[in-house]
Amino acid sequence: MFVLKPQSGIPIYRQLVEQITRLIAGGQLAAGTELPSVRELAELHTVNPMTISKAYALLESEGLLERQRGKPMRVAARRRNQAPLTQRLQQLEPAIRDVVLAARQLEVGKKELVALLGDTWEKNDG
Amino acid sequence: MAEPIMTARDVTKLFGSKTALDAVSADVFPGDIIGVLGKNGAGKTTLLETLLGFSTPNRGSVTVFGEDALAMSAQTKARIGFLPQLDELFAMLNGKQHLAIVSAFHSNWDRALIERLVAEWSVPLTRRIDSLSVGERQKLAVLSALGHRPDLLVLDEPVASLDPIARRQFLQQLFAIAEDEDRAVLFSSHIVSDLERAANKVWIVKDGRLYWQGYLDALKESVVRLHIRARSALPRDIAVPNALVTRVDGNTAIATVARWQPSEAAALAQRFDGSLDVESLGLEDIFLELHR
Amino acid sequence: MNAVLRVWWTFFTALPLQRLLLGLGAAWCGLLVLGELVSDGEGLWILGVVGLFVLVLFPAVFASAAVFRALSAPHANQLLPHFRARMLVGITLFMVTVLAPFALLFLNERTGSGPMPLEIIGYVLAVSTAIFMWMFVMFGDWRWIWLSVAMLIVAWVGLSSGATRGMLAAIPAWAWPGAAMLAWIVFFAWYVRTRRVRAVMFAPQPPAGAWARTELEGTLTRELALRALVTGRPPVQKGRALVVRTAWVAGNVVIMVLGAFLFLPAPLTQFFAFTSFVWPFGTMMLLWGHATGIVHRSRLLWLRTPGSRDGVRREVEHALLRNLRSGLLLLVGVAALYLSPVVAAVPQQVLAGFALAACAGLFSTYLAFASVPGRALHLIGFGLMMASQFALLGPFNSPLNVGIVTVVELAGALAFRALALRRWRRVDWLQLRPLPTSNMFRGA
Repeated sequence: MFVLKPQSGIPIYRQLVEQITRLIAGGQLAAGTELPSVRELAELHTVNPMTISKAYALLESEGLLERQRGKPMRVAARRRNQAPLTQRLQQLEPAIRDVVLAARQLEVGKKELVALLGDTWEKNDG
Repeated sequence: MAEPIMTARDVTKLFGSKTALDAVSADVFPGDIIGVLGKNGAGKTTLLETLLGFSTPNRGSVTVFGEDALAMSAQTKARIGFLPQLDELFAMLNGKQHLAIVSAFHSNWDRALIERLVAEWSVPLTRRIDSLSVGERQKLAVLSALGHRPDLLVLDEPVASLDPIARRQFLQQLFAIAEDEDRAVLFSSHIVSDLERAANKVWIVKDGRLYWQGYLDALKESVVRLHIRARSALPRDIAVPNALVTRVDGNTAIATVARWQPSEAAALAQRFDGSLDVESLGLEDIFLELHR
Repeated sequence: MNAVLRVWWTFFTALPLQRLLLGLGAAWCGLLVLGELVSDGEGLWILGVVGLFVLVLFPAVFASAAVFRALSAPHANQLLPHFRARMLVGITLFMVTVLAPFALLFLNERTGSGPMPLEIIGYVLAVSTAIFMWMFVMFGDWRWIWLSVAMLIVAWVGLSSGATRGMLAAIPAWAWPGAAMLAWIVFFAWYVRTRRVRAVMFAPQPPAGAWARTELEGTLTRELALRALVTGRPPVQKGRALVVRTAWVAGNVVIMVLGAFLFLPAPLTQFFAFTSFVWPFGTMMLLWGHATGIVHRSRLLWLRTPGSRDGVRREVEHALLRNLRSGLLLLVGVAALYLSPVVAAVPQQVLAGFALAACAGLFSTYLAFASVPGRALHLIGFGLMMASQFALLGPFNSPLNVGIVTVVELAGALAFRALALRRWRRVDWLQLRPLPTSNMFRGA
């Protein structure tokens, strides 16, 4: 479900936070879905369980996940406090930056890139 | 915050004229898994062994579980597990006999745990130790350090000779220990990928000093590589704040900076009249850059 | 050629002590050669060459065997190109260097007392070869020391008999270097073909095979486990191996003593008097290896003994004294043998001899105790004691000599204990590690 790269410059907990956030936003993780337990995920990816806990705790504080007593974390039914737009935009920034870098290397201009963005948006609607 | 398990204050160790450790101060808290990273000869083994009282520091002091490391009580020593870099196993005994000797010193030896790990890790117990391969000897040595469920586990290059499967198994065991928030692990390793998986804190030892100590996540967020692309040629002696290494090539410059604050990005881009890309670095790259 | 020179140079500079001696020898020789040139030649340079030989070349002969083994043992070195050939060329070059001063003196006409006889070179070659071969064999397996002691005794006995001396004088001069060359040929042939050369063993290795088989029934007590750690020997609960080992040593002693007193002519048995150097020397050697091993293994006790270094020091001292006790028990047996009708020695002599040997054992035990790490102290103390034993205690020794040596040994032991108590407070286990007791690839 998740792709975690311990060798990346991005801390593992952040990778997980970003991926879960994107999956929730994209609808792949519907409200009420149970996430793997900390221990399961840690064992699967061979990473320190503390990292997973940290990610889950962060997501819980943002209102994306909710804790159930005695059971693993669950996607929150309703976003009680949706993050402000600036914060959500900030989450997109890494992906956008990668696209811009790639475009520059391919010598694609800004206008063409924006056009491509628009087209992709239309195609992926719904 | 809980009481630290181990505290080092200003520890200095000299071997003749060579400074092996230079005013090292650090803490180990319960629940920590600390990875110690450093070049060969930087002082990792000296540090770990001095912290446990094997060597008397020329200056400074070390406290373990509230007691001076040079005079620890029996209860304190029973809570420590140590795996030295050079193995000290009995060559003429077999694994079973060796473990029997080691377990004789601990009243809380966990036989079930050791039996399970012996099976999982395929540790041969019936052959003479000096006929085992280096990896098998290392696994046996690790078991000897774990069996009494120590609250403080200090390992000096525990996986240097283990294959990737064995290393994964070892890491899983470390995580099992980490789950108990009262225990701590301090280990040195060259295998950076293992450190990135397992450690929540990192100590970087350079020339006998604790060059960096803190959370691994914070380290990764703090040391980044900046790619500056300006509209006009950049001066050779470009001054990037907190830069460790800077390379200028015409319109572009690459600078590795420490203590990076994302809020600085816009200001920097403006200052150099260009664009700024921030590249985050893995631990190995960080280590290499810190040693340029 | 570079590699060979490097090997050759290593024979002279391997140990730190050798490097020091090299500096001193070179300075001495240089000064005297300078003096020769300045004072218009009075043969001063000869003294310089002699000094160089005594300080540098002769000690190197003793060290060369250990160095040769140490270089030949590692598996990795077998992969170096032409390794064994280069080692052999190196040792040949070394031997030539050792003989060079004598050749120089032989070629020189101005020694004043006549040209140096060629035979001397032959004798030096023979002696150096013998020393090299003896130490090479000894460092391969600790147990050869017993054969060496036996051979030493036989040689001493032989030399004190007029008849034997006559026989030796009759051997033509060329036979000695001839025998040495033969020895080298055998050595070369062996070295080129052998599969593996064992590493240098500084501490006795617990014997493999039947003696090391132990049954650990049930759980070990902490006491036994501590002993196993500190002595490096597997815990022996049933004692079978211990009995076998003791029986072997005791048997050798009995054979030696009985053989001497039953078969040797009367004047020669003086050599085996309980107050000769044999017993203190033997006791020192018997105890020394174990004591050193125990001290070096003390590191393993640090995290298993509560408190500060004093706790470990006390445990180590207990272990050393247990070791001494077993040595003394053996001595008691030997003393009883001497009091028996077979030997029928004078009780006063037996008592004096026992005290002598006991103090020697005490000396070597506490010398090892104080050497943490102190290799130089160790070697010097040991060497000095052995030298004084040889010098003062011969087959024809006086009660005064015996008394002197005993007192010196006792005083030495006490002094080393005091030194040890001071040094142990700051023992640095980063530098004091268990001595290697086995070749990792043995059995592979």
